[in-house]
Amino acid sequence: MSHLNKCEHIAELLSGYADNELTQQQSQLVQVHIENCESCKQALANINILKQAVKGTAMPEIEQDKIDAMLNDPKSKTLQIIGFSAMIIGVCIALAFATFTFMTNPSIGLGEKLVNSLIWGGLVGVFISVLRQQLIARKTDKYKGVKL
Amino acid sequence: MKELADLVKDAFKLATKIVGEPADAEDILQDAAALALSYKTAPSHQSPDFRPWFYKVVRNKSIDKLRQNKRQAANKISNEAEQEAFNSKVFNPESGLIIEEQKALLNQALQDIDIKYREIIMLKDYHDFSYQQIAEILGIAKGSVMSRLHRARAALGNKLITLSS
Repeated sequence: MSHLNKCEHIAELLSGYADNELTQQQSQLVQVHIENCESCKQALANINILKQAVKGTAMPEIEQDKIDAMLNDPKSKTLQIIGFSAMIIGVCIALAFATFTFMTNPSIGLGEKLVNSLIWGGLVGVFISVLRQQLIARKTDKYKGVKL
Repeated sequence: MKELADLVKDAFKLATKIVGEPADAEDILQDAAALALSYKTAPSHQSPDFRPWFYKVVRNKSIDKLRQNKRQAANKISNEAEQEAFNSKVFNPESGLIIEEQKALLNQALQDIDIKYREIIMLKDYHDFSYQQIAEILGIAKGSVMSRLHRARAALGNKLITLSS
């Protein structure tokens, strides 16, 4: 094999050598060759410079909140909201219907109606006040959206 | 989720390098992330196969996008914007650093070479994938990776020489 041919053959291996992807045999071949061949040695140095330069080059960045938006999958969030709303509406209708039939049932006495209204009315009142507090806290939370 | 967020951040760079337009790259990553979250046969996020798998998705979607854009012939605008950004970097008197100029030059050279070469250089030298992983991402034989990289680096080197002269 003439010297020139050998350089052509080595040239392709130089990339693999710089990337540490050669077999031991190929590696040795390159090593021996570059010890005696100034142009291939220079070519290898150039590859390494290029590698370093690409590694250090400024690449476009994506904003963190865009990543967050992507990973929070807006589609499933919408579905969640729709699901919850449907459930709440259903529960409200059922409650209203139950209250109506309970109150208009002539076989239940007035005292029983009063006690039941107090218990259930009180429960609903407590629930609404807690919900209101939670909503206010959420709206005025300074740390909302801040990553700790 | 942290791994996926980091991956999205990194792969965004590859997508932008392929399609040239950050807004398009965002769409691509959005699709890829949705796929990664919902696709049943995707490797688990902790598996070492996940990173190449994700890049393969991003790369394929980028190529699709590029084809779409070519049909719309909207490429011109982004090239002009890029050229402007490049000029402002090179001729920005305040930065005054030779390194900045070299970086801008390298970015320009990367943008000018064939996309086939650009993506493989990004995958190896920027994202640091092994030849085996690159072969999987690009869907080529492992044996072709070294020769393509060799040609890619030669093309990049030549482009740099042309640009700097």
